[in-house]
Amino acid sequence: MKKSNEPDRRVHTVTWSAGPGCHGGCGVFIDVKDGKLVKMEGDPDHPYNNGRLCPRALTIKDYIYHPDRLQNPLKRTGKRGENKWEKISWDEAYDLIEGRMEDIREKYGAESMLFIQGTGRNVGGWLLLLGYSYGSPNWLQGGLTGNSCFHPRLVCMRMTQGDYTVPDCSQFSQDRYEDPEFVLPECCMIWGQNPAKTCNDGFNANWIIDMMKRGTKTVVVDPVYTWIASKATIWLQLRPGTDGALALGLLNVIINEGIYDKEFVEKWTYGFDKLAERVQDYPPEKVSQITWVPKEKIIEAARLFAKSKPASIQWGVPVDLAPEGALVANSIIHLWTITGNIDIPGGMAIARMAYDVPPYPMSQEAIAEYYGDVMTPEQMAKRIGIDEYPVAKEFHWRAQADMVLEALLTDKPYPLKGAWIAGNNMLATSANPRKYYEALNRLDFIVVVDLFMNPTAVALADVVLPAATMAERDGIRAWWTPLNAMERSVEVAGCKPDEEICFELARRLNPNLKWKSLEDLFNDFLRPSGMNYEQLKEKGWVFPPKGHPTQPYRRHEKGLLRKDGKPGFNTPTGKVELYSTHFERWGYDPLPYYEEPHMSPYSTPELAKEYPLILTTGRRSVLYFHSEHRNIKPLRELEPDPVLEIHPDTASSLGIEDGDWVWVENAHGRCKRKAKYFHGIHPKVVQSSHGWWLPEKRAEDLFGLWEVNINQLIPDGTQAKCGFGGGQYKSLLCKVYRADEGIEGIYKRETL
Amino acid sequence: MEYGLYIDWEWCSGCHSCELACKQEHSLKTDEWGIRVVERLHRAKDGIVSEYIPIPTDLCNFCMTRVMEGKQPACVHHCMTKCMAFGPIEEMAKLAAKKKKTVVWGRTYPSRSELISGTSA
Repeated sequence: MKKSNEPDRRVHTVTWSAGPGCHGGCGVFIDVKDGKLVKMEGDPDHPYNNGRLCPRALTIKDYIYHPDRLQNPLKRTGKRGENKWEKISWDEAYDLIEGRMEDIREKYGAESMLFIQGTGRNVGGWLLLLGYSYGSPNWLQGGLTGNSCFHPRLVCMRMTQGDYTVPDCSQFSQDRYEDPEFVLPECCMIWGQNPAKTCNDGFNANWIIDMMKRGTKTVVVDPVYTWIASKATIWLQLRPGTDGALALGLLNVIINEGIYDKEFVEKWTYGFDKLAERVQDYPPEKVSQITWVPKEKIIEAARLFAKSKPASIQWGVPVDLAPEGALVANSIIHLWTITGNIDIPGGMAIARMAYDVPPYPMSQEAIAEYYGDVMTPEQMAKRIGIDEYPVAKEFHWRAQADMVLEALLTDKPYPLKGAWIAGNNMLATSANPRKYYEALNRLDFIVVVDLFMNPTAVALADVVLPAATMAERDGIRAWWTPLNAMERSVEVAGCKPDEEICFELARRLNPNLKWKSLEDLFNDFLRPSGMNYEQLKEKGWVFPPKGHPTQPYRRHEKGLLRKDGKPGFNTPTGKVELYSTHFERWGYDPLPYYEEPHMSPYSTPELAKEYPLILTTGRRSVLYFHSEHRNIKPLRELEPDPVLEIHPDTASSLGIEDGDWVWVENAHGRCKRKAKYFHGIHPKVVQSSHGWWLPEKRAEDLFGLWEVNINQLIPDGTQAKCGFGGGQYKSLLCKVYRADEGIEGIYKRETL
Repeated sequence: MEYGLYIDWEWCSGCHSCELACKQEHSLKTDEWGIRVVERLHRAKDGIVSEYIPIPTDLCNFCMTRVMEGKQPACVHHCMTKCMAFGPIEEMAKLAAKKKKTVVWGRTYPSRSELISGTSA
């Protein structure tokens, strides 16, 4: 007999985007009753998560059926920022947007319209479809100085080793750790990431913890004594922003002690001698002075990593955010290269999209394959940033964020007139957000696509479109492996997936669009897998067979990496380039070097007198994804306030008690935080989470944004010389002092 | 039947998934929790760090409806670091005997019918 609370049906899909919000692809079952989601549960058989789910996924019901969820397209009626809107139908919204975008294209050219995503997820690929169909090459991750989130690491991996790599945690196999071909790494270096709190970029960070439980040793590189650092074999507590020096110091020890993989270096690398010469500038003593890491620990960590085989490195966004982030990324690539860990079981597996299926393409080649006939070379040549940055021109596929900001303010190289902003609450997340506010406000037409009203939509949007969560979407997910089908389980009246919104407008703005329907597009994207969307949906997820070029291992030996089919890597020399022939060709230093943070006790000693503490922002919370989820009550209950973590000794010396409200301030701006005593941080360093706005406050006041937005302390324009890396979110200077008052009307916890 | 909820708190990362899985499973209100993650300071090798341990509350009924269907309790099923297990108390006690930093929360369940009607909590 069927019980009254039993669901009507159970749908299998994967989490990608709104809801959990992240880059992950966890397999889930969604239980539906009377057309509504009643429960989402992890699929124990899905190799990405094996049943487990994070708090954001487990509260998806609160997210989907939140009373503040946007459920109508809105047209602005008052001034920007007044929060006055008229509800319009989707047809009216499409007509209005089509008309305005046609008008902009006719008068100023398609390139004057920006297509801005946040950290991407299941939005980026659809912005590409819309932007390119319209004729604009200016698709970007807006607000992010130096494109400093994964992209410096991505372009460096392409330039240096020809392909992307990720730590092999057995994720390329359905059998996971039991797969006989897999070898557990002896050591995994966790560089600037907290796997207990955050997953990144198609990688479930809990795999690292799985491996630690199975016996993998770890070196944790983190300024903070996190829970994972307390489990590490060796913890390297570096001064924020000095990652580049540390990497060069580790290379120095490994090279000078001769504990690198000589056979691999000889056979598969280019420029080792020049790198060996360069690292002589970074002996452990000097690196210790720069990084504050004791010399002995640097040596010990270098030895542990180099003598472990296989070994891998899991890196986080602080690599990109270090000064000259691209060079830091290259130094770390060199660490796994000279120890011979590329594409071996348990090492750094070369990662390609399963079957090369491209819903979220991450190379010029993948884009050309599907959109080559859509975008003309003349339009492509207008991509902002390619004249200044050859890396952007040759190895990247988006507009360079800092150059876009310049263009917004100076009308050079040409005036910008409109923006489509999807899933990017820019006023809460960009560096120097007030400058972005001013710059974006100059645009004639702004569409914001999101799920809730937020400061960016209120302040800037002319039209707001309500997007759908992952549970409301059909689609394909291939971010590394496996290849998954997403299946819609529920609908929320009025909301639409980005796939549908972008496809409809792409069709209207480009009558020659080759795909007749979304399903037609999915099937075309799935061509390399030999399946269509319906067949993939039947299977749920698939791995390419062993031996396929998108599956490991040792593909450089088998000639599976290069277009010419020869053994080697997909680089000009066919080898991993420790000495970059690309950088040399462009006139940059071909070898990595260390650059001090823009603001630091050493680079700006005068400033440090007034602002004596080092501030590192962007501390992750498992409860929130960047600026999302502050309105999801069960999550907010667990972390109700924006906090500043401060060493108790430092706090007491400033007369600050645990739980006091404080101002965090530097020459660029200030914001409020609640002080939290935290022993695991250097007394000269303070740390804070980011992305805060207060959904419980009035929209007309931009939800209290300027009182809590820590990015006001972050300058823009600090990008690396090559345009990739260098956003100074992690190594700032500040002072901290008691605030007279807390924050009026801030969420109050209900739980005892 | 005597059951136990085993927790290896060496590996509890304080991710809160158990708390929210429980809330979803049992449709609990904002201030109701069937399990709470307790944080305390611990002096580890290189300094002071937070350590975590989940403790079931009065609202926990060991998800016996799920267990009768052959599933794990919602908290165990979703635990991010897989530091929890559930089963007959003897088996859980054996697991706990083998490893440091472990605990078994135990409970006796009266009858199957009471379990299914959900009155046993």
